[in-house]
Amino acid sequence: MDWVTAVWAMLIGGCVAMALSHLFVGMWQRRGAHLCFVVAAAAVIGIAVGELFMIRATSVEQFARAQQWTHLPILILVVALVAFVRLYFRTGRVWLGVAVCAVRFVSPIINLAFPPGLNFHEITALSHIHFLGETVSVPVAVISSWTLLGELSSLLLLVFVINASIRLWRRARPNDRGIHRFGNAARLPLCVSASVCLLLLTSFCAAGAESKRVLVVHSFGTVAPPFTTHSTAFEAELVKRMGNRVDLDEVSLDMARYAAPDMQEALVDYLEKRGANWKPDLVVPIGGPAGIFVAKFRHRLFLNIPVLYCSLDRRLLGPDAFDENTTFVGANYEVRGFAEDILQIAPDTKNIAIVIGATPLEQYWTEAFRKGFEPFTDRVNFIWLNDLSFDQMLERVKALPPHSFIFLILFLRDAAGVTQNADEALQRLHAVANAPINSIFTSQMGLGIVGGRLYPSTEDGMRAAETAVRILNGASPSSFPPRIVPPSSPRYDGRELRRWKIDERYLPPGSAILFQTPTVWQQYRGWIIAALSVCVVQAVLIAGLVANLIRRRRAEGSLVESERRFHVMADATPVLIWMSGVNKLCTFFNKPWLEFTGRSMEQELGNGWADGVHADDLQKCFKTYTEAFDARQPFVMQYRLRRNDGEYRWISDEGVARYNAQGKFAGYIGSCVDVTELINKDAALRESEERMRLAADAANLGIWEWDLGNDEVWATNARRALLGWPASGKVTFEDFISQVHPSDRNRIREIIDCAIDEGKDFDSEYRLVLPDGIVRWMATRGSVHFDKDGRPARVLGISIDITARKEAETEAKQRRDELSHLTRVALIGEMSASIAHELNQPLAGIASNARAGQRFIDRGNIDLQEIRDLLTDISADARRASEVMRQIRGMIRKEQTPRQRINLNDIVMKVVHMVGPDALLHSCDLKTSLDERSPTVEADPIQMQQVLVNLIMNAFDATREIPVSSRKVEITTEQNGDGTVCTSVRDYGAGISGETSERMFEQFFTTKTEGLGMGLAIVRSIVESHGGKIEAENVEGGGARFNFILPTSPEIPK
Amino acid sequence: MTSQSQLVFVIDDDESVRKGLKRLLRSANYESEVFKSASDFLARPPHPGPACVIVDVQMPGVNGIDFQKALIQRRREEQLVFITGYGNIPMCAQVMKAGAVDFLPKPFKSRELLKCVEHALDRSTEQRRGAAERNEARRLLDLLTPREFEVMQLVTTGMLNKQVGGELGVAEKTVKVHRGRLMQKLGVTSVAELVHFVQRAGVPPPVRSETKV
Repeated sequence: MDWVTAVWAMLIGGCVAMALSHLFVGMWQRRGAHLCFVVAAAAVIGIAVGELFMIRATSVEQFARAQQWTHLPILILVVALVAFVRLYFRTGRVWLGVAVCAVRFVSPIINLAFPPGLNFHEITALSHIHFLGETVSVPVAVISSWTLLGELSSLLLLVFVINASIRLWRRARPNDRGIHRFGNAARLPLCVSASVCLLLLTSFCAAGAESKRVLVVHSFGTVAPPFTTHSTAFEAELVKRMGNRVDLDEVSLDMARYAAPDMQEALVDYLEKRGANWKPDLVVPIGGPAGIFVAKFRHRLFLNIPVLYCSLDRRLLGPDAFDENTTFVGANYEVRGFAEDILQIAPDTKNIAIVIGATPLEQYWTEAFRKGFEPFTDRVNFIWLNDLSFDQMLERVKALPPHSFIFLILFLRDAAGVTQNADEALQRLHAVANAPINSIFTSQMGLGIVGGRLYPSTEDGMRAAETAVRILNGASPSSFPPRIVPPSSPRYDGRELRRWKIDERYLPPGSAILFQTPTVWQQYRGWIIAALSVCVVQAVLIAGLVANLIRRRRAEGSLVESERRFHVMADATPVLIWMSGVNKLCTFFNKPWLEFTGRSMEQELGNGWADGVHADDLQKCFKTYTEAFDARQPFVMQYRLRRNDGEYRWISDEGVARYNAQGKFAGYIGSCVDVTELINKDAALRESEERMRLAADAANLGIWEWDLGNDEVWATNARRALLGWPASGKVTFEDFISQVHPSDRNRIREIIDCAIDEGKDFDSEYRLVLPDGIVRWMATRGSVHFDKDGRPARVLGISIDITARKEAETEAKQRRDELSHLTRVALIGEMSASIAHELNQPLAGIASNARAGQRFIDRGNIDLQEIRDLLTDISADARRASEVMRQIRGMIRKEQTPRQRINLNDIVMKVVHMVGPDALLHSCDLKTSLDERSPTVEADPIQMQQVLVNLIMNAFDATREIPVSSRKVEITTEQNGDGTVCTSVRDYGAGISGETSERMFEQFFTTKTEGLGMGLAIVRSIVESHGGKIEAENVEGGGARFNFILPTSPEIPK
Repeated sequence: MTSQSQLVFVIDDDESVRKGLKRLLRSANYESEVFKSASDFLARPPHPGPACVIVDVQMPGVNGIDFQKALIQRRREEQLVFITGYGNIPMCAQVMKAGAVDFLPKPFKSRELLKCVEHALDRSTEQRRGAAERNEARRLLDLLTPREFEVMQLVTTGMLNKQVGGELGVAEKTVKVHRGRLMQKLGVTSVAELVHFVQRAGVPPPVRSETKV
């Protein structure tokens, strides 16, 4: 597989891959754009295949057919590209796209209608040029003007794509929100359009770069130095610069052989015919004869075609050879110079033999040289050999007189008519001549000439090629002034100099001597120098080593000294010291270390010390060590090391790299300290902190600290979360206060300010309003801490969420009130005897009185006074009854009566009256003993009644078992000196048993078979809610006494 | 029986009740006396005529029930009507079993009370009459000699004269003589009358040993 096919195949493969992937994408996404891309890729494959055929075409027909068929995929490609751009970008002017397609569509039609095709009017031949080292076929053809159509469609396509991408980009740009989405999308069209443009532009260039035709007109045959040297150089340079864009054709006048005028005419005809089919873009005559020929017949053959005269002496051309369409690159041979050269290097030359041929050109030059050498004829005898045959010349040069020099000008055809090769002739002459030879051109160096200021033969060919390229690219020939290539710097063949014993002193300054056989020195210079330098190096090394040894001895001495000092210090310090070498293995442990571990140095060396490291820490220890070691970085690590008593102690090991005196890395040295205590303390501290945090979190405690200096509040995460503060960030006191309930804010502010001023602790309860509106009760306790100047610096505090407790308290109070009410109601029930009795008495009275009144009236003798009395009694009784009801209602009422200043004695009396009937029922005697000072308390009168009634009823129950005569209940009030009043209810019953006395105030504890057990509990709660307390005791003389103490309220001064 | 005047007594610690009751009784043409407490009443000498006592149960000092017991103890004959502001069944049962006429919870219907009073007075009258008869019979019985008394006792058990004689250890003739004499003293003509008489007198029957018949 050759390169071209390989490359093309790779391209095709790439296209296939892209096509397939886009096919899958297109089918998956169902976007037409991708399918268009697939089609485009397929079209590219088609084009590539077509091109491959074109490249490999062996005949014109094949090429033409391949070309024609290639246009079809090109059309498909264009259509697919247009569709792709339109679908993918969703922009692009439709009419433009349609125009592109339409134009392109025309091309295959034209292709088929006008063979050989769109691009070429006619393909005349297939020339082969080198491309990537392989020969490819390139058409030699006349470009058809239909090419413009193809180019137009390409241009339109380019415009279409650019327009579409600009529209898409503009559409994407101002949309800031979607910039990211479109960012990629905006880049995409740019990429795609850029690549498409690039593709089109390259196709433009390729299309535009049609081959340029250059016609080289040779003067002599294919091998006619120096002319062919020039032309070879010229052609090589031209092809190098233009590659296969230049179509090079050559024609040779072969003036060596054919110089007759009719031959010229035939040649002109021939060239005319050729030019009809193949018009060159540049004519390059090489050599004098070609130049003259071209100048002469320009008007017939190469009208309006640029001409580049190359490799000839300007004087050969007349002035009419030059116009604005010509230019010249050649030489101006200075004849004198040649003679001067010879005389310079061989001053005692007496004879110069001139070798030259007999073509008209040579004849011209013979004359020119004769003229040129005239000044030297008095010094030198010129022997002209131009009329000899070559063989004769050879004979002549074998036996030249001494002090001779041979000079070869041109040798194309000898006098005998034999075509010659000047270079070969030179060599043959050189072989037999007995005198040194010289010639004109640098290319002849090494063939036997001595040398001098020679004219370059290749250089002017290259210069001519440069100019040709520029002309072909469109420059006007007149912009290139005629270029004379001067002789190059003097150069001499060293062998000839030696052979002819020419003294180098005669050489002009700046001469180059070539082909010298080097002297021994020159030949083996390298070896000699190498040997010498080896010796020198050796000597230096030895000296260096000796010096080094001396120095080392000295250093060792001081090293030993310093080592000793180090050892002394290392063993004296309490710190554990170790050293390791460059291989990480330990080399030294100081005495404290060895004593600590209780091992010997041998045991610890190398990696033996690792035996003492705790298994859990070993991995990490090694890792830290080796990593730091490799990086030559200091390290600190902690690990457990086994002490001589077997206990593992925490060691903090710090190691640094150490360097020797030269600064070279020598290993590590480290020191260790026992940090067990610190670590334990640290661990303990951390543990305790953690515990505290856990406890705080568990108890819903928020811990906070207010730095008074910078007004920053720090709080635990739990508290931050509770308050809705972010997990980090500065929080000020005001932030905190703003979350306190408005009604509590001032109070809290005051409390805290007061605490700060007085340096006291504070605690309070307040409500927080959380960010979501929920209100929570907090209990905070805080203390103020002072800085060293005694100024308040920080406030530390703990807050607990007590919402639950508060809620529970409220609920409990509610329950208690309810229960209190219920027991009041129950109490009413218990007092039913009293109630019933109290109601029934007046009712009975009313009934009796009323009936009696009726009977009186029925009887007839109406004593009005009697009636009046009767009615009065009735209303009195009715009032009495309603009073009882009122009292009952008061007891049953659920709402609490407000607390008021009440006289305790009055309450007692009222209650006594209330329970009178019950006392009778129980046959109990009720006695009161009231403090004369009439103590007043701030209390709820109904609740006080409830308390007394309860206690008294209990007292009645207690007297059930004892004989009637001893049934007594005593109620006393007594004002104590300390601002309290004590009320007691005493019975003479059986007293309180031990178990009962402990539990009697409990809820649901009762000794009654039908009791609720709430009475005493309620009593206690009422007493305590009034700020008092209640207790019970057994009394001497039998029975129990219940005392409750209430704080008095100061009397209103009467 | 002498028709003494009827008297109704009211014992209640509550003034309203007392006043009301007195008026009511007066309106029914009953004479009444009111007392604040049972002790006051007991201090008064008993009324020689039919008497009814309306008494409240719940009273300080001596309550109604104690009062009833006291009356029974003194063999007083007044008929009791209990009224109470707060009564329960056991109390009612107790006083009724102990011989009360009725038990009325307050507030009572006036008509009911008056009916009870009338009933009580009737019973009182009846009782007085019965008591008078008994006293008479007792007097007569006291005229009997002991032997005559024994014979009477045995005869009332239905024993034949011979049996009586056997029981007492005397001849049948003697028994006959005693029998005749006691019957004459007592004013009865037949055994049946004798039995009635004895019953009226309230003499308990003798304890009999095994009848050897």
